[in-house]
Amino acid sequence: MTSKTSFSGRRTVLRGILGGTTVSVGLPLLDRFLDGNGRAFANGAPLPVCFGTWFQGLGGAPGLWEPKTVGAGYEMGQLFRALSPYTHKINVFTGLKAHGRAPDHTIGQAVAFAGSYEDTIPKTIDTIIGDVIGTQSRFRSLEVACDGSTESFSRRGPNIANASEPSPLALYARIFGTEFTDPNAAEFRPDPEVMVRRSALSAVSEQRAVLLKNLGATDRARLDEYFTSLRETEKQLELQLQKPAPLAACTVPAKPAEESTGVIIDQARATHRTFASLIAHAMACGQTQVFSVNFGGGGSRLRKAESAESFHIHTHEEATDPKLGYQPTVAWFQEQAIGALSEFIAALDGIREGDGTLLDRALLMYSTDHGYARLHTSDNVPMITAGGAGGRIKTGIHVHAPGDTMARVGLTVQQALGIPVHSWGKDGNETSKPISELFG
Amino acid sequence: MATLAPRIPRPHSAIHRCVSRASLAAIAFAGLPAAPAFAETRSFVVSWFTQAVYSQDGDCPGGVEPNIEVRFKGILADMGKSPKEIDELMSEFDGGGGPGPVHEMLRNRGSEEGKRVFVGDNPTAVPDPKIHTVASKIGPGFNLDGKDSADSFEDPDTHETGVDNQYFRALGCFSSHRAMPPVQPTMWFYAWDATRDRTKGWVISIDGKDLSKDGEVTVSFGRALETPIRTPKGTPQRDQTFRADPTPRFQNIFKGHIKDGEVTIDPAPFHIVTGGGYLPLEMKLTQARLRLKPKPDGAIEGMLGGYQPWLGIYYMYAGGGYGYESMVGLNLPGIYYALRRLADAEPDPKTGQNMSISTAYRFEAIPAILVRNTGQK
Amino acid sequence: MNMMLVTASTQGSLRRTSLTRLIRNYSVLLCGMLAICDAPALAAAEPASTGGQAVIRRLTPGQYANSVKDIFGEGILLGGRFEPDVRVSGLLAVGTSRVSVTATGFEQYYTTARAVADQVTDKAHRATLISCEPADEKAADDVCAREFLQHTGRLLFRRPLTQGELETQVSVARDAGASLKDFYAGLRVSLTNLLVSPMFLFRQETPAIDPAHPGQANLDAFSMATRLSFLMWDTAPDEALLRAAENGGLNTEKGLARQVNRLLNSPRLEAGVRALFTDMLGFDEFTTLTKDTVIFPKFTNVLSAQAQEQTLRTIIDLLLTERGDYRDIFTTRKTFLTPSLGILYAVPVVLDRPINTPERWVAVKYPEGDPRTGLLTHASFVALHSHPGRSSPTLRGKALREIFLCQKVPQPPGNVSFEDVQDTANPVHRTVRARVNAHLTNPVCAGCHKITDPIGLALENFDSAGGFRTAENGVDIDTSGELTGVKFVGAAGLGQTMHDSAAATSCFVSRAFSYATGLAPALTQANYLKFAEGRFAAKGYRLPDFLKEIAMSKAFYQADAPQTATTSETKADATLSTTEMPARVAAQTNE
Repeated sequence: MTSKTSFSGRRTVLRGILGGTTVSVGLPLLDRFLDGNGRAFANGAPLPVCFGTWFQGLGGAPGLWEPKTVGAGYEMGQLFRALSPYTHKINVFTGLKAHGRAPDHTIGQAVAFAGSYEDTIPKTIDTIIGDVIGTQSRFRSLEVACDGSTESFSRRGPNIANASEPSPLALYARIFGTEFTDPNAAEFRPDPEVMVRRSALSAVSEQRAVLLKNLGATDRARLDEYFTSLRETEKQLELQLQKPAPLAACTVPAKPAEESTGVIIDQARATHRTFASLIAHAMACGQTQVFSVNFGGGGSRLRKAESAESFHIHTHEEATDPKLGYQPTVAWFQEQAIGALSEFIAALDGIREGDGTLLDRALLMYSTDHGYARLHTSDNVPMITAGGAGGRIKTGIHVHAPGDTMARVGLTVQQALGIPVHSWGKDGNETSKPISELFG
Repeated sequence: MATLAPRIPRPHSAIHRCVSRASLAAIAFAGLPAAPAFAETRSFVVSWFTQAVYSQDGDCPGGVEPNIEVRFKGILADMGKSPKEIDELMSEFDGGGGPGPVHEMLRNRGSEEGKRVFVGDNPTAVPDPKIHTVASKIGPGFNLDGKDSADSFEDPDTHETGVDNQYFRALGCFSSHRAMPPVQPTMWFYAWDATRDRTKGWVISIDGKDLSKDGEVTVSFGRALETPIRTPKGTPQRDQTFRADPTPRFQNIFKGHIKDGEVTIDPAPFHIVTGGGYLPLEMKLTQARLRLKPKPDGAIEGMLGGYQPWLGIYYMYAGGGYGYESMVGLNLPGIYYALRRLADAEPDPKTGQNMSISTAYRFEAIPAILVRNTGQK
Repeated sequence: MNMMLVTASTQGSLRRTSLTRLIRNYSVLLCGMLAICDAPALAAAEPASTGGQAVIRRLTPGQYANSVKDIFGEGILLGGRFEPDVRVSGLLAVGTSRVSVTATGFEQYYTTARAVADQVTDKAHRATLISCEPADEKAADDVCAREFLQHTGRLLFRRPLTQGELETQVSVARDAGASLKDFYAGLRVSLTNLLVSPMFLFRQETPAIDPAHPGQANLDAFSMATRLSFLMWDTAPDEALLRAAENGGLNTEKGLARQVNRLLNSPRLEAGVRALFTDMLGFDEFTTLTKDTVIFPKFTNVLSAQAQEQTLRTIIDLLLTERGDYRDIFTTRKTFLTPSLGILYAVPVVLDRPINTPERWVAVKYPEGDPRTGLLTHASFVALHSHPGRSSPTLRGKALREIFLCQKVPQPPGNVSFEDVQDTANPVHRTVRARVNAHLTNPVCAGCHKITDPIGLALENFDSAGGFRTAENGVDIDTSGELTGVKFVGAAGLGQTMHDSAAATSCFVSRAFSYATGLAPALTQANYLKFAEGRFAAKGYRLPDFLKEIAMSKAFYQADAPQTATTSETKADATLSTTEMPARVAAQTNE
């Protein structure tokens, strides 16, 4: 080994760290990341991003939920009023559809969450994203169903479902039971892969002086900007090598009361409220970064306490009210689901972290399977994102994209979270067009 | 009032003529269209199609049919279950189509030769549950038999009396079949839309010398080779090109008349093929009537009526299986007995039982481009 | 001559220079663009011209994707997205020589590079894409790494790596491979480096000073190959072209002709011509195009993609398949449609088999006398240059002047009321023509609108989404129009006028050359452009012949001589500067 070139320094550092021995002092590159004991500094890397899906079956009543204006500054439609307090943190998507044969109870959520429907649901977006962002946390993901079932739309692959947890008490025990440890006490180990990447990239950035030396002013400025931008990515990698800031907002919630899960809407909403709180606290305590909520299933079995007729039955049986112009009970069920969604968003937004909230570093993706419940159509299916993913995505925007595949939202979300994907979806739902107005 | 006068701009008509002449390879496609038979043609594709109903408060003297829960509880009581047993059984009812003990019990509530059988396939395996039927005097359709009898309606739009529409009378007290135009009854609204992607376009053309004036026309109503393309909202697109299916049995040609801007036809048999699924695979009407009325936006609203074999209608419902009872709120044996009881035409020579029932359907058709194909490559 | 009309190339300097002087000095350019002079005479041989500066151009997203696909195969998927390009002097191609990489942009390049490198080195691809195997997969292997990086680096950088560049990346692979105990992981990291290197992301042109003509230079052979390949195929030079560059094959006329003919006769020429017209016609604006879906329910993003494809298919068919006359793009009655486009235009589109495939394409020829002739009637023009809910003769006229006549139409002043034009429900002014006329009673507006609206009003048979109409609000539409003194009726009349316009062909020559060089039309190239125009005409306005003309010209490969940084810094005007420093990056890294 020689010390003639700067590359030797890089190599020495890497071998030192990855060989498991204590890093010696005086090496040029990684010493910036480490304290005297070879541990990463705990000096404020941003808290990690969280992602989750939230599903409600059957859609509802078109014309009653869509905002009246597009772009920023929109107002929630009638059935989405419960979301109004969070409008500035929410994007609403209208006009999107699942291409393929309608009506089908699976195609909507398949396209929303997996980009395609191939007789079954392929790997879903929560798993795709979790495989990238969720590998360091205790639970790679948490899946819950609010109607007492274990039904889940989260898939590791075709026919490999990540079954939902139906019981809030069981979920509490899993997260905050005896195995729970204070996240702030845990030791931080930098990812060797990230170290290698950070080190290798310096071979590009070290060319800066040579490349800029003989350029004209205009081109020099342009390449200079390139290297400044490269430096930003280097800094991001360096941050990943540092211990994250302490999770100051981590508190252990109270153990849920004895529960009664079931398909009655009040039961489902109560179950959901508890799940929302548990998942929010789990994320605040760094236990997971990924979740998947199933509120009531595909052909929703949810019903009112006083009636055995499910939401699904009402979609097929209820006559359209001639004065209102829609099925009032169906609209009521959609409003209930959105009410629950607003409670989930409130749970995330209720956890303050520094200047912002947990919601601000999270990205929740809502979808349903149908646009028009009465027809079970896959046209104009409501979709929502909530939260800014730590500034990776703009919020407070109504995007109207009539006839475009629902997979565009999934593509946008993945690209915002840094998943290397250029196009997503299959057949009629394949898209390489993210919703670019949501990017900064 | 809108008329059927050509709305299509001249240059467009030029293309039409070019297509029709099949000269000069005006359009480079494989099938060459036939020569034009008419001076003026307007073409349309059916954008929605539904049973014609007219539901008013109080038109079901026994009340609207009870919801699924009430009916199922009643059925279980008739089966001899105690209130406690009923409550226990219904607590298992999950709003789906089974499986489960309560579903099995309700689905196979028929009894034939000592066996439990599915009532949809064996409607006479239970006694007539005597579903409620419509008793109103207002009902849409046509006077098919020329008579104004006690079981006739008056059409709410044309005010024609003696209207025969026993299909409406039979089913019109189920929630899923109740609607006041322009709203469509939920069950039919769903059934038409659910088959949309496998149903070839139903194309209508009106051919005549001058469609802006009263006079004789030829009306064709048949199946196309293409499926309608949809707008982002799911409604069919205007101005799509369709080729008429060259198979003669998929086309109906009627002698028609324009009077006061409306087109009617002389009674004739009608036959069309659907995409199946929630609709019967084919619809056959005898003594069919048709009324086409232009709308200001260039579309037409239509009414089709005639006598239709009621067993075919019944099996459309029975084909939906037990789910039509447990999820749509229908009563399959009840429908069977009502259709049989109210059938009003074409008696079986041996039994005297009428085998057809008067029906009426409302629909809308939007402008389309129809190319008549010679069928040759 | 109207003062509002300025050529794009001289726009920057017009503020400081009198029009008279401009006309005197640069009459050739203005002649071509404003059609006020006789057609340029056909010169016998290429006149002397000094070319422009050698430039650094960022790869377009299409060029990046094409390069990766060509080097690693169709099976390699890209990850992430790309930064948008910017339009300068009417072309994104010129904009590529102005843009850099932002922090977000770099992050995306890095994401994509990692995704590509992951796939290239994964178990499924390494056997086919990596020509050697390491002695031990769990350890670094300099020999195999060097072989792979040398081969791949040459294709990515479009020239051989310098020894220093190569050894740097071999050492990166060695370090990472040893650290992660995985040869392929090491290779993955160094390949990622190559893919985010400025040498790959930017096309860097290297001029070599001609000792016989100090102050002037030709591009070196690799820069020549790069210009040539991106012009013809919109991708990086292939192995054969790089080899020709290495062995001097591009330095002789015969050798150059062999390569030019090879590129021209390849089916891949279509990709190059598509890229040229996609850029020239401004199709990037489709990404932000929206239509009021209440008024135009037929218009969707799928349809807007088909509208672009319709025009590109029409152009490729006319100019390449049929080897037709470029000017016929304005008059051709032949086009290509899908059933969905047939719905938009309300014309019959019949497929040869029953469909559930509404996106199938068929060739269509409109009958003689049909108003839908030429690409000015395509939705890709009339819908792209309209407001969301109403047509716009002003936007259409402006677009026609800027895209096809290379003229710059000024933006309206900020304090103008557009109430008259916007009120489509106005009971008195029921057609666009009536509303525009009302607007023109304001003399501030009239000056500019006179140069746009008489063109656009001829296209009023086409609504904002491209649908055909003969009346608006119940009033018959008058489609008479005028362009530089020529009066005509309707889209067909406008198309014929454009077909016959010398300014339109002159503009195309200038745009195509700008596209090829990445430079705004430079005054120093005026002689060549005039000459090229004559050659274009002499060859019957055939595009392949014209591309060959450019590719075989001296002007295409000429560059200003390299100068020192201090000199270039004194030149402030980037648009007209002919002294901006060329990039000598590649040469300088040869440590």
